[in-house]
Amino acid sequence: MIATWRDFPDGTDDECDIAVIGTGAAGGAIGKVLTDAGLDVVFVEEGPPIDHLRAGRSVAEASRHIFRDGGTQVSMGRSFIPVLQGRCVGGSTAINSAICWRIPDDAYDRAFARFGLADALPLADLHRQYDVIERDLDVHAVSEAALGRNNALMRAGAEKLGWTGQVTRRNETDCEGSGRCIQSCTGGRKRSVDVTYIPHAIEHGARVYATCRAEGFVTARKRVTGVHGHFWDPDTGKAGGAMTVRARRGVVVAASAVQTPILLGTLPIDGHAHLGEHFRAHPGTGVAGVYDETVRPWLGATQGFEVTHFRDHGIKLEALCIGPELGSVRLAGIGASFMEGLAEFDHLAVWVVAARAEAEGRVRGRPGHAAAISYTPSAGDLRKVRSGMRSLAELHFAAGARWVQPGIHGLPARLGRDDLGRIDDAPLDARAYSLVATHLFGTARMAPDSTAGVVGTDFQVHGLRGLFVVDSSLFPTNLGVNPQHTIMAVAMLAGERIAQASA
Amino acid sequence: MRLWAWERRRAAEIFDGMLPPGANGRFFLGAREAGVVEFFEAHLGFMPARTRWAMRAAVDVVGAYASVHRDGARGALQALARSPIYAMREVVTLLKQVVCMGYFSDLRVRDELGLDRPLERPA
Repeated sequence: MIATWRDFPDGTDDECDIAVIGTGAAGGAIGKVLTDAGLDVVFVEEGPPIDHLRAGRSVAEASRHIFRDGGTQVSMGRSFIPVLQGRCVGGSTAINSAICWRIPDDAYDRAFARFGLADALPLADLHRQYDVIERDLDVHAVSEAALGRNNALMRAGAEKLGWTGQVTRRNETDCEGSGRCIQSCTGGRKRSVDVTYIPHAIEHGARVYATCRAEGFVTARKRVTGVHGHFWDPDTGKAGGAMTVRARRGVVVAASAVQTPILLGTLPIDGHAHLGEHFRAHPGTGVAGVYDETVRPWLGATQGFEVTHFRDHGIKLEALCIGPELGSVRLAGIGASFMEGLAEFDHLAVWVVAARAEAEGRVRGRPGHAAAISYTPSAGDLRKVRSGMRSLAELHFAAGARWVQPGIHGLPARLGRDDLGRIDDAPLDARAYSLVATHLFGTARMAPDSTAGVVGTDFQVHGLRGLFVVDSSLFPTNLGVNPQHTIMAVAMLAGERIAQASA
Repeated sequence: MRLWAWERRRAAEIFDGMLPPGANGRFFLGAREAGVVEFFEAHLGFMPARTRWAMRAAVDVVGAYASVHRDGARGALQALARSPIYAMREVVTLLKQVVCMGYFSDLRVRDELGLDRPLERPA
């Protein structure tokens, strides 16, 4: 069952084996493993169960309903960078593009083995979990029928230039190419955890307390024995009844690289010097191409083609189907000139670059309040972004674009093929770019001891028993590829270990 | 979330300055006719306090530079968009975000671009 604030006006006390905070990629995946092992699980989720009719109505309604802070969460640094996260049953799996990447060997070495985690997170075990996830969530390459012109043009450009790329592998069943993954998939085709692992866990006895904010932990000496918080009405912000869940075998935190350190910050922990530190992301931005043909960039699998030619350089290029509700913000002009841009929006193709950034940021905050994320990409990171933008522009022209719109402050709004060199001269200043930070990592990193991290190799927080972290906050750094698949695989591995220890 | 009457008037002129009525052969509706002011007011209610404050401040900033008329607002927005000061440019970005989201929530506007038509699958 999924209960909300309406079901418990006077609050509730519950008891279970394991309480899981968060129902996104990590929470959903570990919930499946724990319930399969016969454990009694309660999920605590800050966001609401998804009303698909409401989320499907418009991007604005979806952002109000299922995005953290209504889609306005930003990091503060040298520039404001949107940090998009889902806040609903299903977490960010409900709003992402469903991309599933097994961690490549080089990324595994860089992100896990180099930090001494090869024994804690063996690559072979991750691949065993990937196999399970791919079967459960129907992971496969986007079909030709669902590709749409925005993705197909990127493929055409890559083929012409001889750049390595492929149709994206995603968790969906018979995608109809509506381009509305961000609205939790209006066609109901995405196999996000709200329609897969969470219902599976519920069938096996789990309860979900949605619209319920975890605010702290129940502790006894050095052991965490439960979680407490309050229900709330996300449409009005009004607080509801109190919630306490006592967990006989422990509490799992799977609340994201932003919320997890904030929750852990309510406890005195041994690795506190690293808590909220080492925040990493894959900052990126888009370049639109203007074509003679009608493209309709809002149609097609949301991200159906990717160019991996520059992955060794920390740069990944992806097509992104996006509508004018969000995509036209980047168009130049005010008044009649802005409207001219809107009028040709159906002739744009929109592609993005994501960079494996080196910069580290920081997360601070209190449960129930907007997080304070401090993050500024370095000059080296911006060099990657800029180089990726140049490559995107070349791709557009190879695919037949008339113009490209780089959206870099100080450059003309439109560049022709002969002007591409101007992108190379763009300033290495975050304020010149319209960056978005996706894929968040590292604010409660795993390390063998508390001098180097927050979480031990047994997934327990250093210095406490019964408190586990299983989301991407434990990743010591960013992966350089889309992380959803690895977040799920790591959480499943953690679930197996916790279940074995509980047996 | 209710705006003061003067805030509504100011927002309407600024949004029409951004998307003026009759300025484009394809999109004939201006922002106000497409219900962007009402959208803005409703949208604020779902924003966290600091974003609400930033959005209202953005309207105030543009209003401070312009007479309360869409031509004046357009001039102010153009000046802010070209500003060497990052925070000033971000004021325009913030307003564009809410205006675009509101404008493309209008069914007449959506129809014009065919936003709700399904993908034509290859035969």
